[in-house]
Amino acid sequence: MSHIIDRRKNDKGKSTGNRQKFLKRVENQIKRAIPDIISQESIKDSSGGGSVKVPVRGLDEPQFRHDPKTGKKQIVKPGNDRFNEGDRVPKPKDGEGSGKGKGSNSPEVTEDDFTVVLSREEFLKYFFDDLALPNMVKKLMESTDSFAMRRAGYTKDSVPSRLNIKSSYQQSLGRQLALKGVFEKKLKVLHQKLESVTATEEKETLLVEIEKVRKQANTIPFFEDIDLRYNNFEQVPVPITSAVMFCIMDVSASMGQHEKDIAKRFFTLLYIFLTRQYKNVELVFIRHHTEAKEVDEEEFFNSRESGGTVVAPSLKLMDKILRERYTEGWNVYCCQASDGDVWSKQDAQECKSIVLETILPAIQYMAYIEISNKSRESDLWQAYSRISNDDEFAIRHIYEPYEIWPVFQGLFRKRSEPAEA
Amino acid sequence: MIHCTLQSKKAMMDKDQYKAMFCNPNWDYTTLEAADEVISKIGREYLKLKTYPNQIEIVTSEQMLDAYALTGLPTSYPHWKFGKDFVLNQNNYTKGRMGLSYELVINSDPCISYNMENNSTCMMLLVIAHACQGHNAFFANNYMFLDWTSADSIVDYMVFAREFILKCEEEYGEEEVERVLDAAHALSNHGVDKYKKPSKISARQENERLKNLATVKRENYNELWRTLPSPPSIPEHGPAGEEQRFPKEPEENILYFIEKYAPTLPAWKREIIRIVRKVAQYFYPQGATKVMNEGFATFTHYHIINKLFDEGYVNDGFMLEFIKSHSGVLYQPEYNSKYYAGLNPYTLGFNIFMDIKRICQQPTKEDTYWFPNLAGKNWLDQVHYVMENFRDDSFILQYLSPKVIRDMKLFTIVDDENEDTYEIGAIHNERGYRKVREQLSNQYDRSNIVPNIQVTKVDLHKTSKLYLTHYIQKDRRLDHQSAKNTLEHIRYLWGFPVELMSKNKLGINESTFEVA
Repeated sequence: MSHIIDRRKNDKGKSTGNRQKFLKRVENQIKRAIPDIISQESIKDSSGGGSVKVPVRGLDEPQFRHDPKTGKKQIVKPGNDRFNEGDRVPKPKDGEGSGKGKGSNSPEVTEDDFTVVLSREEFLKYFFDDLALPNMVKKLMESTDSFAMRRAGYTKDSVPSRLNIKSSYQQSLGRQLALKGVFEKKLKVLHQKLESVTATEEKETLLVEIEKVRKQANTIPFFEDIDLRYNNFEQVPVPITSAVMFCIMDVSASMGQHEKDIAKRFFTLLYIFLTRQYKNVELVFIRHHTEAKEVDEEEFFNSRESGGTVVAPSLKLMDKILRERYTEGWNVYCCQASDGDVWSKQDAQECKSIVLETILPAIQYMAYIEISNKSRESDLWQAYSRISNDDEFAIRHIYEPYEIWPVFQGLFRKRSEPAEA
Repeated sequence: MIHCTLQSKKAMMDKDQYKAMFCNPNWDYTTLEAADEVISKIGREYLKLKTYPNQIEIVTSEQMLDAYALTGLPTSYPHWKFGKDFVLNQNNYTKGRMGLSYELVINSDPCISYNMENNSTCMMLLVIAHACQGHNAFFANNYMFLDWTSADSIVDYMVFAREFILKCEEEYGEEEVERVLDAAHALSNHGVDKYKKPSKISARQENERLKNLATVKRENYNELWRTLPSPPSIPEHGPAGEEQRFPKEPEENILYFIEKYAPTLPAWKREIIRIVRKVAQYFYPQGATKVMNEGFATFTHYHIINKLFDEGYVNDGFMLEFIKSHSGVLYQPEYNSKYYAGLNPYTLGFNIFMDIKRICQQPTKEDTYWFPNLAGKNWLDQVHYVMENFRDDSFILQYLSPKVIRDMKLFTIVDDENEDTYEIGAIHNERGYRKVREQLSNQYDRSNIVPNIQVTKVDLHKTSKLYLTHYIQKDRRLDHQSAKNTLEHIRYLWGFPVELMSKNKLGINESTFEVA
């Protein structure tokens, strides 16, 4: 009479749809929380496949209910150990719990610390939802040197391995039907003739004719060359999905731990963003004080250096690496972080001309982040500000962690105009 | 004679096999099948339970969370609320703040129960006795469930509801559907006919009804008529000059009223309201019988497992584990304990049912005075009678005995907003029994939780304004913010201004909420 069913093998994602609906409902809150996440938690962690917690509020489902403070209520409780009828007990002060909370029968759950845990995909979706890489389309249109095959209808002529049996058979059926019809018509006419003629000789020839046509009708070939159809493929250009990102950071003595930390966060953010846009993202780390050096990630962020600041060599090094390793088919991005201090005005001028003449023509986009809280404009800033145009080369100021996200958002906000224009 | 002994020997053999199975903490399919067979037999023959057929489903914790989110229903229409509940439960569960119950059972025919996979054999037996006999019998026999729900069609109905809402989402957009659902959910407590018994209508009939609606609409479709407002379903003016009041009697089922009379509501929105109303109605008996239902199920599993032990199906070790779980279920922290979170419905219900049995079997002088109708009667008949014919408030009012009040040391606290102190109203003594009992019964009365709000008037002349009245009870006023928000939802559904007045027992208006 009873059924026992083992459901454990069934899907467990029954609530997925409703969860998505719920997330959509709190989307704005999640987005609003992003700057906090960026400035407080290590971005590295959030990109590492872990989850992100977003506190959520105001999911009230209103219903008519009594104000717990009003009225004359009687509550029955268990475990009387000291009271007698008529005893008076002081009420707890406001804030110590006013009816609601632990002591009451209220079935409501407090939503104060209600957090939503987002998976990495969901997190990235909210994170970079409205952002796009500038000038991405340009490169895609230009470079068509890699292709992929895609199905595109049928063709009458190709290699046997691409034979499409179903449509070939359809053709064959049609042809057989058509031919049979013709032969049958012929037979009909011949039979009529046979009935009308009387001469034996004529009859003989007609009978031979009938036999011939009947034979033909019975031996319509099952497949003819004209029936055969082959799957057709055509070449479509595949957009280049590789990008290289140059991270250039000033590690001179003037860059303190705080400045480096900001730079790191910004670089990480950019890296996560690029990985979302491109299948394959390579990183090149260049750090410089008086001389520039290509290093690995670990060294880039962690090792300490000191000394004066000359910026131009790092740009030269970048140009060199670019030409050696990333000539064709790469989307190139560059992000430079510095406190803006340079050894001399001349250095700043040199940087400006390198960027303008050799780097910008070869890359998609360059961003310069100046991490400083000084009010006066640095030499490098002054030099760069003349050539920055936000389309290919943007410069921004950051000093506090909470500024990172707005700046990042500003740099990569989706432009309304098409990028190839 | 020989034949007989052979049979009893075979029974002995079987019993040993059962014992070996039941006392092995690891269970498999055969164990569950055997458990269900033996437990059903005891339920049927010893406790005389009449149940729906059982459908026992073994689920993982994730699946249990899914089941929680849909309050046990195998399917439901899509809505963010269920997603929110899911996320909330999941958070609490993964943080260890909340444990999942061993089982979840719903009122359907067949009676579907979800059992957690990580239950031990003992827990499985307990759960099968508790849910598949106790709750199942309660669903199948209690008048609330028989009158207000149709167990055989709820699953079909939810399938229909899901399909209908999905279709609406496709046709009118998810946002619009969500707005209607949000608004209807806000009124789900005001969507039940408490006194009129609803007519039963199964999913197939419901689908038929919809199809007819569509056909009638299609057949009568006329481009010209389309521009005219749909004819108001509200009756026109009565005899000339006489102002007619509508509705004639105040209507407590606000959702029904809107579904029926909202002047400009399109048919599909009416249907959505109807779905929410039907679901609310389905769950209404569960809210009204929590103490009884859990009490009876606990009473049932307690008797069945003890019977298993008496008849030698299980050993001492099994019983130790059982007693530990059983007493865990019945744990009632005292009012000043930090674990106190209200009265435990399992404990209260179980104690009352056990005391009914005790009064029948060994009545004291006190019992014969308080319960002359129980003393000396057949306990099983009485328990059945109670289980079938009461709900929480009437159950407590009728059967909470002085002994249970004494055992649980119940007392009442009077919390008057105008007083600086609480007053102890009654304690577990001769003077207090009746007061405590009455008070506790009140506490489980629906009106104590859901404010009494009714539709009292619709302005038929000009504005089509909807007037609601809140009848204040015990000076309990409405929470302003939630009242306002809820009213916004009513405004959306009704389509015209809405006003709510809180009236005290003298009929004097204390406060007014209005959404123009």
